[in-house]
Amino acid sequence: MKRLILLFIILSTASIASAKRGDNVIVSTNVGTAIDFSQPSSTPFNLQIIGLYKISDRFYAGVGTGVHIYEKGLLPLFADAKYIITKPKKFTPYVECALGHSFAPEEKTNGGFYFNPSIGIQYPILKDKKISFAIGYELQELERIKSCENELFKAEFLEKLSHNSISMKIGIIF
Amino acid sequence: MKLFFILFWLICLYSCQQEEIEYNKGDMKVHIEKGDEWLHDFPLFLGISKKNAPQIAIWLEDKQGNYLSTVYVTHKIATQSWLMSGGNRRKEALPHWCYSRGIKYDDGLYLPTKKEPLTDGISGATPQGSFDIKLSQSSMKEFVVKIEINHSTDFNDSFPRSAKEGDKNYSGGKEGSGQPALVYAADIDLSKGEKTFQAKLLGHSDPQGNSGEISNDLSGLTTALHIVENITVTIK
Repeated sequence: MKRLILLFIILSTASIASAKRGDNVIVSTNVGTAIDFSQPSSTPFNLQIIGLYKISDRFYAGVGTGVHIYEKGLLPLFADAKYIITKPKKFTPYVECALGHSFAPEEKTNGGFYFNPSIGIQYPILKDKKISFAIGYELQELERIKSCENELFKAEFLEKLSHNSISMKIGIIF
Repeated sequence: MKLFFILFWLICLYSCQQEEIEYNKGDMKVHIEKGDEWLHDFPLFLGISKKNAPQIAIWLEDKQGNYLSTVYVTHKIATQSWLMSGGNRRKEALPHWCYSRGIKYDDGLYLPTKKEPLTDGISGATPQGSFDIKLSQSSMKEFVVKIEINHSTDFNDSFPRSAKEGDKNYSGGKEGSGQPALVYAADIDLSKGEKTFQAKLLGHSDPQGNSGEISNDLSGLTTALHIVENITVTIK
């Protein structure tokens, strides 16, 4: 089942990436990290691709996926909404919110809830491309089975992790 | 094509197999059931507090009271990752477990340090609710499962924040424990055919963490008595 979900995530990524971009559809790719304030903490590496449909002049909604690497690798699948705060300028501020679930392709790992509201700024770099930078709050939950063994016994337990972080990401909007 | 992906995603979502701990015949489950006081307000700043779960250590001893091995310890005490401790090593957190282990560190205390943390395999994020530990492949027939549990800043009238170092009820100061840790024990005898063993409350640890002694005087303890509802060891 985990291989099936992994295959679906890959296909979704390809589908989003090859989506027919026009006036009503934008695709953004982000790479980011976060400062984790939880214990135990983990510095993540996040790679995302998001397809957004233009609902109005300033409001976009869509779906995203990618790879999040915490203690374990996760494949997120989330709904995304973006609101451009001002009319397009050189530096255009926006707010964005991602909400969904991350799946865990590795054995002995369960994914969990993903939530990432952020505020960012985008800057045009070419005719139809923009660069963006965003900072926000990120909550990523996951579970993993931990074990240890010695000459007396083998112990196992399900560790539930909840990473509360300040997220930072940089991206390209197509 | 897009509709296909949406439907396929929904099917995957609902049929996603969750990884769980699997038990075979003969395996043991140590179950800690949370009580009403499992989550405790820990003050941060400006009147803001966060809900904290207790620090926990689970270990095995033989019937003569000799320490055998640690099974599980929460992350903060295993790695000296205390939040806002003001440099306090928190030797009063789980002293009975610390002294039972008998491992002394560079500063003369019996708690693991950042430089010498406990082996990662037996430490974990503090559980926010009831949880289970599985023990398997054990050749031991008679042993004791011990559990020590403690909240930080769990002050009351008998163990107040204002107690000074040297006072009988001093418990580490304003970042200390307040009410001392409680120690539970389940006597396991696999030769009798019993399947369930209830852990009994033995008493509380030294409030100042200066020894591994247990006192069975529970007067003065209030909310600490309700951190745990019950602890059971079940043989599958």
